[in-house]
Amino acid sequence: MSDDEEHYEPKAHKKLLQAIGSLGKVQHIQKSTRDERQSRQDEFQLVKGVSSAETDNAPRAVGLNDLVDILRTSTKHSQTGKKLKSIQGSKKVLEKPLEKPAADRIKRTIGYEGVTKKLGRWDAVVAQQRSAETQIFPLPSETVYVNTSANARPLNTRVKSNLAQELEANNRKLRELRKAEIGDTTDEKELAKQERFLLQKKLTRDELFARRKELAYLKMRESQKSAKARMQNKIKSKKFHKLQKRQKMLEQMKEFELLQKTNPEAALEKLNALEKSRVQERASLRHKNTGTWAKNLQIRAKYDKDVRKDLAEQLAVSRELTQKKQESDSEDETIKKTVVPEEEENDYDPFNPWTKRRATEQTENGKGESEDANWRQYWTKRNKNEKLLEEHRRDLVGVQDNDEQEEKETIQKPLTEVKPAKKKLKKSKVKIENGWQVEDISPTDKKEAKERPNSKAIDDIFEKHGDQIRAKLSKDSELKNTELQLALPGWGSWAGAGISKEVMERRNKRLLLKLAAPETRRDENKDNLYINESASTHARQHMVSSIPFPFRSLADYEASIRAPVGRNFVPETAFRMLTRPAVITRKGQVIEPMTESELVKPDRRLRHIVDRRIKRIPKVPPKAKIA
Amino acid sequence: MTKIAPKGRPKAKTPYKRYFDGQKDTETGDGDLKHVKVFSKNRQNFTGDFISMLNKTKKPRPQKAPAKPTKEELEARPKKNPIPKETLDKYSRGEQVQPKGVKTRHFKQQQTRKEVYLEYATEQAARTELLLQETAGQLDADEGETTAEFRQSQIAENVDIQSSAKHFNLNMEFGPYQMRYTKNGRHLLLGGRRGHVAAFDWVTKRLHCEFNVMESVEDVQWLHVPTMYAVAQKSWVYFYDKKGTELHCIKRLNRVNRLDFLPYHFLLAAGNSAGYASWLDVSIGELVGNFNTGLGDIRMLRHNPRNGVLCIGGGRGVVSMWSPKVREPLAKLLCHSTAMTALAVDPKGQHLVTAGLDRAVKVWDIRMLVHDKPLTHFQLRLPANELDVSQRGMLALSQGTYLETYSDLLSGGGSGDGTRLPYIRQRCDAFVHGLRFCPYEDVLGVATAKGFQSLLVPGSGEPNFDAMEDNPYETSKQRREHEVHALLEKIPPDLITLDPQEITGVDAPTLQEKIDAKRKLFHLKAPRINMKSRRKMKGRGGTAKAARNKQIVKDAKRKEFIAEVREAKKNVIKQHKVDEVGAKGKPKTKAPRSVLDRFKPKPPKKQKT
Repeated sequence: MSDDEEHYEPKAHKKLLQAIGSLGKVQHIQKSTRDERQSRQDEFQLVKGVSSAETDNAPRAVGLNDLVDILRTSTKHSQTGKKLKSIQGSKKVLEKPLEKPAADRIKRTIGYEGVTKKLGRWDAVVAQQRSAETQIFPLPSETVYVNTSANARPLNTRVKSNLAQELEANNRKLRELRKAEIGDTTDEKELAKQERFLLQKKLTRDELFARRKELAYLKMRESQKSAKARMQNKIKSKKFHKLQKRQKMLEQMKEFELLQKTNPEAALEKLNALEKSRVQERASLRHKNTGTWAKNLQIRAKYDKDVRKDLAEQLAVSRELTQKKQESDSEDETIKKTVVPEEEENDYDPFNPWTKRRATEQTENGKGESEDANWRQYWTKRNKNEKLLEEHRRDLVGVQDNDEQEEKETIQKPLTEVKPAKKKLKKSKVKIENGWQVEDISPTDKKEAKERPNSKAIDDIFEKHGDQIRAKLSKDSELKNTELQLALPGWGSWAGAGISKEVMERRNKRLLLKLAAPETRRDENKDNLYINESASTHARQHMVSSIPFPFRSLADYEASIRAPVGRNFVPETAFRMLTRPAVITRKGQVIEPMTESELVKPDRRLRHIVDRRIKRIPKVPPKAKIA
Repeated sequence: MTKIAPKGRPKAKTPYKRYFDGQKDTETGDGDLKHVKVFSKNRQNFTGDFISMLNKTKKPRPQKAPAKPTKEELEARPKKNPIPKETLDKYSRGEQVQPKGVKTRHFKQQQTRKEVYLEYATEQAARTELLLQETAGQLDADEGETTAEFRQSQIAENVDIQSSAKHFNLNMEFGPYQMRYTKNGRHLLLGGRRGHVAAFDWVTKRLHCEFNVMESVEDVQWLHVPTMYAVAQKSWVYFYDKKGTELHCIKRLNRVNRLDFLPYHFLLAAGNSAGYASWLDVSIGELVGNFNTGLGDIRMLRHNPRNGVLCIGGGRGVVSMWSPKVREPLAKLLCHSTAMTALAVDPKGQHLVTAGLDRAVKVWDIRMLVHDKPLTHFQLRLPANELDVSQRGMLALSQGTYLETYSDLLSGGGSGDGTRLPYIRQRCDAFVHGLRFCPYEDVLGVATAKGFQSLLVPGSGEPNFDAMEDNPYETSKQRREHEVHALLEKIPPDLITLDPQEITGVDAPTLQEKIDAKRKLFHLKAPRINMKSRRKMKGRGGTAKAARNKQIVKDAKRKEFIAEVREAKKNVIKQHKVDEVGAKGKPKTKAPRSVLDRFKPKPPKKQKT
């Protein structure tokens, strides 16, 4: 054995080995570390790099495992260490909290529920007050309800003897003396008072529990809701959102309807809000087929039926949105629609191409409205003339044998009669010339068709009393213009003259509308009586135009106003009851808001028999129960 | 006579303590003060027993709450003051509103509650029946006698002094008289053809005024208060007050023959010799209606108190009914085949009584005008020239100087057959020109050519008057109050219709209006569209394009409109298309025509008639 061998130094040997091992590597400068305080830091980090072996040993960040390992060393902390470990294993990361508006909304809804429950207790009282015949303010308080259990004090039942009183006084004195000796200046009474106050303020254990429970519940609900909201926000389905939106809309509508009944002002605001949202939606131009989504769909629409349906729906929504606005805007226009036709009704028949053209021409000429260029009027006029003429002739001559001659006359007469009307129409007449001229040949056919069916009965009456007939046939009593001829003049007679009357009649009958059957008069079959049925025009102005709201039938409406209320018609006692004010207030008294004692108050004793009877009326069950 | 104190009277209160009967502490011999109870003055003297009675302590009332009566008990227990059903029916206003006929729950409840009020009102009204103590009188004939035998002098002898004073005659020389009572029956107005006008309180016989207008007097009429009246003189109608001062001369009412007054409408109705009917609103002095009836000289004119319609009798036997705002008669009723001589409407407005030259008297129901036949019809020996109906339904008629009354309008009457005798008959000394029952009195006023007679007709007037309505004993203050109220409740003349309930109905469109609306549909023209184009953006087409767009919109609108109208028309046509089937009764099924059918032999043609 050599000395060298004997001089084996392990430390040096290791160093040597290390040096050998690191021969091949390039960098020998270690990375600077801040393991001790230094006044100056090497700027360029020109320290030897860390070797791979070194990095293994290099200190790294403290992990949870290290902590646990440390904890394991003592039995005392082993449990905690296990717990920590298990926590790491579950890897549960807290959710990101909801956005503030969403969280607030949830908080509000929960709060709302609580408040509704609290306010719901008043419903019965409010309903009773509303349905009461009279309300008297300030509220009559026959009995006062005070909860005295808290402040109850046992009655001082025992009478103290003189001796006891003396003793008590002595005791008090003694105590004061002692206090003075000690130098205590606290006031016992004050202390007692404070204590009582604190006691009052302190919550009992149960109350505390209840309160905490409630808070916990609220928190739980909140978190549930927020979780739900988050989930829903994540959903990407368009359909789902559509449905949701619709539902929300429906809910709002329902709410609005409810509000309309209960609180019109709030309803109005709500309506405004709804309208605003609609306007916004409209302005945003969603629901058009211009968006990216729609455009993409359009490409697919050729092949997919469902997609087409979706698109159509989208468009329908947009149409609906835009249309609504139009309706509300065009109110004045609709009025115009109704007004205008009255002026120009006479010269327009949409079935007739001729008259249509004529109408347009007339307006071009600028004298369209002034003239009564109406073939129907012409007809009525002519028929009337003919009627008169025929009567006249019958009176004069009696029976005339020559038919042809008569016909000629009838043709000539009306032509001369209607001349003035025709003169104005010269231009238009040319246009539809053949229509007019052909018609002239068979003039009597329509007259007969228009004859009243009950003319015979009238004749009978005529023979009886000449005085009545004048009235009965006068214009008031007759239904005018009950027939409507859809055929144009000249219809069915293009072939010229010589068509038999029957054929013409039959042809025209197809186009004849009977708008009403002859009405039965009130004085029908009463020969001695005539009742003017159109005489009530002045009274009609004072009548209601339709059955007023809460009533279903005329009989009910009439029954509702059957009884007068005035002093002259009912006894004074009844009059006072009938005109009793709904709200009675006492002069000079402050009307306080209701207190909670109102909730448990028994019903007011009713003095008047009417009130008692009203109370006995069985309540009409709500609609849900009926159905 | 000894007075007994009423049983239920409450005990007299002890009077307030005065200074002299303050606490009296009497000093006893021991030097102690002893309290002595002090009684009220009147009991001071009593001692002994009385005090011991007072010392008795009051027994406490049993604390047990009374058992609540069950429902059956409540129902079984009879009401305290039941009202007979007939009385209730009498005051009932009609059928109740059925809750089924009211729409929402709230209004249902409201309506049922209102019905309770009305029921209470009816009950209260029925209870006031108790106050109607007066009963109508009646003449009762013994066996073997008839009421028609009794003379006025006999009746006047046998009634009380007050009533007998109501029978009197006035002989006046200014020719045939017309007369009117006021609505409350207290005052009488007489107008002689030869200018004599007199107004007086006929019960006390106190004359208000008497003068000669120096003109012929056709008719007289009280206005709404007994301080004013109208006189139809030779050419115009004059208003006078109670003192005879001329208030107005209404020149628009000229040559008036008959006057009448509608108290609730404040209308003075007049019929003149040219056939004009006029209504003058006396509260505002305006003619609300004035037109020619075409009936010629109006000699018979009465208003129907129920609806305010004016009934005018004509020479042709026709009664026509008129409203001031309608220029045609509301109704016409052929009553007689000959000329009419008199007509009267009963105070309730139920019946119309007419008399004609055919010596017939007919009673008609004019409430609904459902029948054109009279309710009763009786024949007289001579035509009646004056008629009137009393408040309780008695009929008085005169035939020249002779005058009869019948106790019942419907059942009594018909002296023509000789089997039934009138209730009372009377022969006047002169021709009877006017005949009126006095309201609220058993008196018939007869104005003759020679004066006035006041006849007693027991049981003719309504015994119980409603002072709110007509008060025969009203003071001037009450009269003024009443006038104001009446003015406030004035009914506008528009509401004079045949059916007074018509106003409560609903104005449904008549058939004619419906027809016209349908007709109108066939003459509708597309409305003109005024399109205002939006402000043009830069580079978005010029005027030409804008014009084209405009045209497009217009066309679209028009087409839309036309389509709508066409649809509506189609509906109308479909609705009213006359079935060829319906006319002949059997369905006409035509076989489809073939081309070769033309070679078939033709069916023989029917002969033209």
